[in-house]
Amino acid sequence: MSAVTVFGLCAAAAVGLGLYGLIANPQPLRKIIAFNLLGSGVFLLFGIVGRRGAAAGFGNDPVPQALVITGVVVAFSATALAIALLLRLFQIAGSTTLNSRAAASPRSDPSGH
Amino acid sequence: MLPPAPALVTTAGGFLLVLSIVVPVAGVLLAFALGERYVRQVASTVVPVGLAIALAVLVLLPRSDGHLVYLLGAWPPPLGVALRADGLSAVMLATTAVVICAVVIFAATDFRPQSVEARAPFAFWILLLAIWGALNTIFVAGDLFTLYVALELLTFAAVPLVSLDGRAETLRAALRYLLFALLGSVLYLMGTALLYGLYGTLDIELLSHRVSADSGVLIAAAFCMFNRYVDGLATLTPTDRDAYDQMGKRMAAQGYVQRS
Repeated sequence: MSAVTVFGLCAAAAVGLGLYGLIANPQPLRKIIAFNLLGSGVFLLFGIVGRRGAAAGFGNDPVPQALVITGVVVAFSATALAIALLLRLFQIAGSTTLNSRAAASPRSDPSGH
Repeated sequence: MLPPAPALVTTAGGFLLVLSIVVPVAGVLLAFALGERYVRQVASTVVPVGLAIALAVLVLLPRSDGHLVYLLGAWPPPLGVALRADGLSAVMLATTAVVICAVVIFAATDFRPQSVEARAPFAFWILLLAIWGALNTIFVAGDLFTLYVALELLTFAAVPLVSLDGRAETLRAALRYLLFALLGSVLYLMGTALLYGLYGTLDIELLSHRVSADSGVLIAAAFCMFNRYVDGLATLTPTDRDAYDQMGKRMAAQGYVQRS
């Protein structure tokens, strides 16, 4: 099994775990972390695509690496925006749940239940 | 091995595509630099200029064979990034410009400085210009990755607009919208990665020459399509009937325009 295959399987596992966490977890903070895991899987996939496209004396295709750097910046700003919204929501509503019916009683459990 | 793609050069009106992105973004930066007092003046200067650019694209398009192309840094695809406009892009640019003008006229009374809260008008005018820049980028983007960045920019501008008045429900709706949009965009990015792995280019026109509908392309396209699907799911609907009742009474008494 070559290194590319191992990393490919890692990328698939990260994407799968992230997707599961993003869909199955009710707490917004865990959803944000799961999104980052999913994003890391996709970036790893880009790295593998670049590795497989190695040609013309280069060990690696530079284009996917440029795309990954842009993608990392975008994912970072997305995480920052989500965290800022979450903090603001906690300050105002006293809980971070996304379910508006459950949030009727303010100052409930901050973990989101 | 690969069928030859047509050689690309920057067409005569290609700089208009750059201007259609640069003008709203410059408006955002200028409004930030000048501060809250001048934000409306900046918006009301930038918006007519943007409308003129969109109309100029519409006029120039038939004269340059139905295609406007601008190669960034004169690098041709697949290495470089191209901005393109065909008939559909030009119509979308013009439609967006007209809608933004209507929004500006409609919102001019509601978002006067110091009429609501201090921050809301400032944020509104800046985010309106940011949304416009992102939409124009989507319409003229010539490759899939530029499209991804533009979709993310649109999300980042739209989410704060959703939660502009800062109540808990709107913050919750904004956070839900952001999470849906992020899931969609990261899966779109995965589709982009798979397409690059298969064909070695992200340029839409080059891809159209190389792609054959095998299973890999269909999987990648499914990831790309999912993004557009989930983007519409996060709208907020009030669950109790009193909210509708109250809104109906208010609209009957005051008309459609809400005065705060």
